Amino acid sequence: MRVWDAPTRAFALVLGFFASAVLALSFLPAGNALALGPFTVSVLGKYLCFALLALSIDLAWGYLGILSLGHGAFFALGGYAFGAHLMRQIGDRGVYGSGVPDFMVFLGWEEYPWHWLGTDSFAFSLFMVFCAPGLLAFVFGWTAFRSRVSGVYFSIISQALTYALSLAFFLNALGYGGNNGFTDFKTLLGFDLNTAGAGRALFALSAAALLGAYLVARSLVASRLGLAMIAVRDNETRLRFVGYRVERVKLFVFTLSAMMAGLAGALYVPQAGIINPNSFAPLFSIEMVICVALGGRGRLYGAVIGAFLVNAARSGLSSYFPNAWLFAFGALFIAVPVALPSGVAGLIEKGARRLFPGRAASGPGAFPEKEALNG
Amino acid sequence: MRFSLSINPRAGAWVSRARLAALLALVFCALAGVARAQAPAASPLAPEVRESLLDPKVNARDRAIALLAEDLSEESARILTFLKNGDLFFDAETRKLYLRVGEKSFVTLSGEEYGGSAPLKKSAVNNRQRQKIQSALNARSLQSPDPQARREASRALIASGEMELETLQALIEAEDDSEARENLRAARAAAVLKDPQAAEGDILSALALFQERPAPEARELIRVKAESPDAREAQAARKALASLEARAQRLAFFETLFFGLSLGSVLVLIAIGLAITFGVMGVINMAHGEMAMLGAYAVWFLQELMPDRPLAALLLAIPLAFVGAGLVGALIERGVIRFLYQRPLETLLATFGISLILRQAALLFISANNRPIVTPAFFGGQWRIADGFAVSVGRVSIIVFCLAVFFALVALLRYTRLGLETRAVTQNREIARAMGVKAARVDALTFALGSGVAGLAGVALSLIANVGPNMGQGYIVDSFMVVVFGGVGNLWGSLAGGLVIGLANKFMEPAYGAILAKILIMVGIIFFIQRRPSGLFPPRGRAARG
Amino acid sequence: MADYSPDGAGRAPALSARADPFEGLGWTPKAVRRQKYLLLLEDVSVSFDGFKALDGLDLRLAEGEIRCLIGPNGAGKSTLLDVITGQTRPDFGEAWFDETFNLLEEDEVSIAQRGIGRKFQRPSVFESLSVWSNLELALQGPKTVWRSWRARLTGAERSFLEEILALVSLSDKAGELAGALSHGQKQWLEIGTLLAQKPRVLLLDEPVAGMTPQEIERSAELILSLEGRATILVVEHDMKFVRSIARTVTVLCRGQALAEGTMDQVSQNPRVREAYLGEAAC
Repeated sequence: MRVWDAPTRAFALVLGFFASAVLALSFLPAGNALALGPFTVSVLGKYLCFALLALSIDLAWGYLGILSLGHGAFFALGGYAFGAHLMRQIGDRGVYGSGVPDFMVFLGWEEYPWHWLGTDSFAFSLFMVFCAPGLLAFVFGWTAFRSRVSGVYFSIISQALTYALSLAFFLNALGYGGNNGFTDFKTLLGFDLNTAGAGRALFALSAAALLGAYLVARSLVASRLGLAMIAVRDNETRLRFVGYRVERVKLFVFTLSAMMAGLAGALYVPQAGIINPNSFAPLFSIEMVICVALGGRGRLYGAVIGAFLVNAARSGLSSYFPNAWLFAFGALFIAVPVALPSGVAGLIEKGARRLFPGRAASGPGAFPEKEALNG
Repeated sequence: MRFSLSINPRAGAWVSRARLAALLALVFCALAGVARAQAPAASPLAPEVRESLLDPKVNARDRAIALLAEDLSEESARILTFLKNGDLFFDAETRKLYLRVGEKSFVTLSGEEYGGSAPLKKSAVNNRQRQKIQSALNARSLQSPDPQARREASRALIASGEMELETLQALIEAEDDSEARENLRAARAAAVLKDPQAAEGDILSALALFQERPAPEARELIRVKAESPDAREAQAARKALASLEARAQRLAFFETLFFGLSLGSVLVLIAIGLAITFGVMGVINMAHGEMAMLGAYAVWFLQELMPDRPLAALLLAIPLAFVGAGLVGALIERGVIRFLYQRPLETLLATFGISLILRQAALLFISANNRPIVTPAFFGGQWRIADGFAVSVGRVSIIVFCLAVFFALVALLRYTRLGLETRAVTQNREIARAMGVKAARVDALTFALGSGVAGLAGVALSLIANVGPNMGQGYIVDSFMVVVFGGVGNLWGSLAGGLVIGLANKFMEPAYGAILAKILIMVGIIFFIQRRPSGLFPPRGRAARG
Repeated sequence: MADYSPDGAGRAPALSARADPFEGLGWTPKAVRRQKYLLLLEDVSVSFDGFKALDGLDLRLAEGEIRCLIGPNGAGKSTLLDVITGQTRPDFGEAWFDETFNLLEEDEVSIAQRGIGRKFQRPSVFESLSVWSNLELALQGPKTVWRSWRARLTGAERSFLEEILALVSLSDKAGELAGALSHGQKQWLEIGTLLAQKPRVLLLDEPVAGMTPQEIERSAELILSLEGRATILVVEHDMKFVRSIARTVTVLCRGQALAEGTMDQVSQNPRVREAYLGEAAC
């Protein structure tokens, strides 16, 4: 099996160490200098979700060369699908004590509308977490790839898609909470969400999901299908003459990637305690893309590094220098493509090559350093 | 014979107009609500009038208005006009009246300038009084030698329907302007409908007239008749209403068409800069919306510099916006984009970063709030195209301006050396290079040109949209849609695409609401692109095949 | 030597068209013509915006044949290959492969899977894949999403790819990125990927453009060594190279077949000389 190779083992080791360290520190008494409070654990858990989202973007952009500026839409759909279940769990514990969520009380609705059908079942909601983004990606991708929409066209259309969805979810009449979205969650499967234990469990689940998604992605890119994916990025016309159905390769990977994004959204919602239409905003999607670019695209672990770096920098800078943060963020968008096209992972690999010449060859997904890239 | 035919009616008209003077004087009395038997009109400066105008109580103005309405002199018309527009002031000390003739300049009735420093008091009127003044002025205008004034006054008469039938008949016979005569006929019909003693035959013919020539001003009168117990009257009234509805729909259609065109033309202007840069360099400039923002801020900046002359500031903003946005564009191209050619997706990210920085800079150094833009008086006016259909001069100017820029750009690309080189680079960069075209220079100039045009779009946008740090974002997705819809790198496609999207927006808004309309259009375009990936006007020929 | 023909089935010797009962009558029914030739194009016309790239062209290739296609620029050579590989749909005409396979109703992928491989005018290999990965990707076999996800190289496949590497002189470059190869090596790698697909028809668009004389000589040997195992259609401007490999040459001009025959025959043809030398219409 090519999946369990050195990079995968290293990734699993680092992730496992990180996760168990966080969990262990969270058990320390609150007075201890190293202790991690429930808030910090949930913040790190959210980072893991962003890393999972970045990983899914990297699968499409780094390997297939499809830059989706609308992956936030899949993330948000997964989040809403799971959030709907959490809303149902509130029951009559809302402010108005009615059987339906408070925003429906405002709308004068006394019963759940038809499209909330099944959201009271955990299994069905879990199914929808994968199905809703997957279906959207499938329909969108099918029409786009079949008519050979690619490159910047695809990026712009995917941005329009998430923009249109953000407008739609802002509408109160849609029945998904409008502007405020879903919030004030109480329980999940009978467990109180507002306890340290629930926070730790969700954190552990996020780490497990990230590892699982990494393994799936790794098995894809290490297979002959992975070669085909890179070939799509390099020259998809040529790949057709080799006998591959390029559209199907793209559609499969894109849909899979959307499902990963949906899972990330679903894990994010209970840890953040809220999901609202801002997750559909084009800005969020493009932020996640820059995470991938910074980490180094075409390398799965690069996306994870990038997500952690960007979000940690945001948390740090935006609280101390709120004005400087957006300038720094803008500068990041410019500096990474110009000065660091292969990202932090590229630097790491360069360093590794210098340390162990001949051993650490860059993987098949790696971009040639100076070569002109067709995106 | 011919001569007499062509001259006679005119001569007759003048004669009868003179004859009318006495009759009209009576009408004015009625309008002003004053008994007919009263003494001849007071002089405009009669103490009674003056006292009434100087009174701090608004209701006291009734007396002055009534007296001035009776007086047919030019002077009283002038005072009434100033009074109606809120431009009549007085000095409480000297008890002198002043007319406001400029931003801060006041003259007395005899034309002496106000030299004092104390602020003058306004002789205010309320809405009811303003209407009264308007109808007095209208009645006066009915005998103005200017046909345009007679047209407007007679139209106002349809709505009020307040005039003796004989007077109207005399006016109709005397009128030689066909439009004014039509209006007067309608006014007469309105008066018939209003008269409770009117004969049935008169009412029917009045309704028939309204069926043939729908007048929205008389809608309420006709509606009353539609509920008349008399079946024939009711039926005639319903027909008249139906024809009124049909006309209203037609007008609404044209109005929507016009609004769509003006929105579309602004979209065209924003999109066209994108189309050029994408066509020539294959670069998607995500900071394009911010170039428009710069243009809009140029208007604000100049208006701050010269607060007294908003129109001049707006006109000066045109070159400033073009050059300013163009320079920023050139800077972006030389500083960032040229390192990223052949990597379109990364250019997209880098230009997005530039957009973030520009927005943040505007937010930090100017303001997070929208900046106020003064719409010059000239643009605030209305331009009447058809009966009941007026368009704002500002919107017309925007359409004209956008189209002018568009055609200038087309001409530039077709007839100049830069245009030739640009087209050459668009078609085949390597070959153009080999033939001595400095592609790098062309790139920088094209990018500056595209950005400059976006700056111009910002000037147009400042008149119809909020000017603030996020204004560019509101239009960038739309203008991307225009570009891909029209076919990338195709100017005519952008023109058609922009107009179509603008029209679709405005036509769908009433039915679906603004947000849903936007979503539907976006989804529509997404599917359209997927059916026709190269847009409305795909590039043709062998070169087009990937 | 490896067997490059599909599934290792033996092929008839070169230039052996199947028996034609209508031989000598000057006319053959279409069904028989389809049976007789592996690749059959009749009366094919393509126009772009009024420009006739192909104008009623006929082309008949027998199994195992090596055919060279020459002609001045704009004669329609690349368009002809586009029609065969399904990239361009002709305005009218017919194109059949292997008797029953209608090339005009299939897309590029089906045509490629059915056994028509094409080398492009500009060398097009997957530059960020290694030489070995380029070959593995092209390897003949099921190419669905699921099968390629699960695919593992068998020992036989591995040695087959190694033989191809040796044949195109790239054995020592297997681990290198294809983007790092020289121009000529990229050309060979592309031919190598075609061989890995085990095609029945090889379409080579300018296979020796930009090569050194030594490389050209080596390429000619390579192509000749394939004779009889695959049907090969070569588009080339290098006349010396064409002379060294060609049995039959077809001259294309303005979308029509101007002449067909051995190299000597066509080079004596006055119309061909005019087409190549003079500006006059052919």
